[in-house]
Amino acid sequence: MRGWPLVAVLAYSLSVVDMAVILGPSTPPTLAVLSWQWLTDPNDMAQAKGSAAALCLMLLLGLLILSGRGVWWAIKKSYRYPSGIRKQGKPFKSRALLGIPVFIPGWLSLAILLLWSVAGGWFFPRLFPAALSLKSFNNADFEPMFTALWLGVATAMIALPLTLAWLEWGSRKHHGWLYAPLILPSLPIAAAQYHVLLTLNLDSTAVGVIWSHLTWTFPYMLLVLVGPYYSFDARYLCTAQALGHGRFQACLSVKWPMLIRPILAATAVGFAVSVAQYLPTLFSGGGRFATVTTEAVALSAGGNRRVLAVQSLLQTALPLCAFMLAIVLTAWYARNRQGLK
Amino acid sequence: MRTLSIKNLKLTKLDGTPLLGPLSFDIAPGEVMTLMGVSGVGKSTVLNWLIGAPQPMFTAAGEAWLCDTRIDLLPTEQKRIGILFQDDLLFPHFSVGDNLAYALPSETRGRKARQSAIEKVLTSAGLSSFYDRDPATLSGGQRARVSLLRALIAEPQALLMDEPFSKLDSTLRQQFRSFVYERITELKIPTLLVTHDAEDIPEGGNVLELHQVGGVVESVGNTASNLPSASSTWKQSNAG
Repeated sequence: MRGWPLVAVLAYSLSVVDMAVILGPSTPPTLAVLSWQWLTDPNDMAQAKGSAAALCLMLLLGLLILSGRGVWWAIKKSYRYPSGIRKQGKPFKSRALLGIPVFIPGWLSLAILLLWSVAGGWFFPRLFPAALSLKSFNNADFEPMFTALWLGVATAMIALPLTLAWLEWGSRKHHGWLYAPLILPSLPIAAAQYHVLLTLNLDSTAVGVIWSHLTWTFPYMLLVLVGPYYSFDARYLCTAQALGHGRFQACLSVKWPMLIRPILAATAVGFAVSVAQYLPTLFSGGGRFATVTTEAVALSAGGNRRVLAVQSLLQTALPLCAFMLAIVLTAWYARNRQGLK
Repeated sequence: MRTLSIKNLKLTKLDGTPLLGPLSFDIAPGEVMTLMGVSGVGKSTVLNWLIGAPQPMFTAAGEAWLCDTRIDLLPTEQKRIGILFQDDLLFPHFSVGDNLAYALPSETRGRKARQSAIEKVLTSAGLSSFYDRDPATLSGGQRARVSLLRALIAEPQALLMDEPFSKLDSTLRQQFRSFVYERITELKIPTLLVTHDAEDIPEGGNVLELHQVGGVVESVGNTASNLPSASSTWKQSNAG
């Protein structure tokens, strides 16, 4: 069970299209990009190839998981720790600090984006722009941001009651399958959803896009909420019910308000996940819904770094605002109640 | 008659091995029956069964009767049984007054009427200006008192207590214990108390001791040094 986060990362790297397209537009495509290109090709044969390639992606994931387990088994045999089995071998010194440098490129990228968005003229080989101006922001198109905003809000607001309902009334033991979209490559799933929506005549509709987003939003919200929810002291609900209130009433007035902090955090995460969706928005929306994410990927192919920087910053701003709102709302709700802080 | 009766309670673990039973006893109005036994013998399981808390690890068979109605099949909110736990479990997002208002039955209508009813209850316990207080700012003894007030303001027909005194220090314990027993006698509520501490047993109270015999719990009725009150009855039964 401890390997699942790695599987999720693996699935993501294997199937990510927007990252591959942005980072290497003219390099040979990855399997995911190839599959996506074929799937969006109007030619029927190309679409069949695309579906086959998507299946290959799943097989590849399976193979990699197996070889990963094999490597882990080999490591356990040759090192003393962390297998927990007493045997001869070299001690394995863990270097958890190795994780920190991973974040530095992220922060640097944000800094560069900020610089580009306010850059006047900036030419190689200067390290800083020649002039700073707000022209890019003044001329910016805010519509993709608003599209992403209402799509994200709608998705999060639908996913929240679903998540709470599942956690409260659903099976505690058998919920592993709900996390499947997180550990499977997203390309095959998004493509399959498009075909389903086509059959139902719901492609290119908001309902279709939101439904498609829910596939990833719901598991993430579940993931965030499941810890605090299952460790919530059951005696509170028992007490509330013993005082004469039905279970749903008790959840509404006692349990969920007491869980306000994780619930708001989960909603913010759900919103962020929806904003970040590229393939699902493209596929299910039939290209008709321009969000900051789809715009940013499209702009990355062009030469206008400033416009791209503005859209990317807007894309970053949305989840940031959601998380800040979650923090502010929690602080306000707990303003007179030490027990909730 | 406000009597709490348990008839032939049998508790079995999931794998089929019996845990407890058959157990039968009656508690008269105003009487406090103490359930004692070592840890793990099943005392809390009996309480959980009575209050209707989900217990996936055990199956229960038997009947519970209160005021001549069969309550073991009713959902928790309809049983009219109050419960006090080891921790006060005051709702942290409500004020003290709101905690009590949550328990006050809806028969009392109107904000003014409800507020004055709650103020009356608080004053009777020496907590008169506490309506708007944050529960987290109260001392342990005050919280315990509010918790009992909350349980009683809901007008329960019976009360269950799962080691409610164990987290209080000894002086507080005595004070709170007398406070609780006074209210119970005054309101004539049959009470089932689970505890490890023999000092918690009220004067002349009945004690039901659960002993583990060869893996199955049987009850051995045991009275305190004084004679039990005439209206109380209890039955002793061996593991079937």
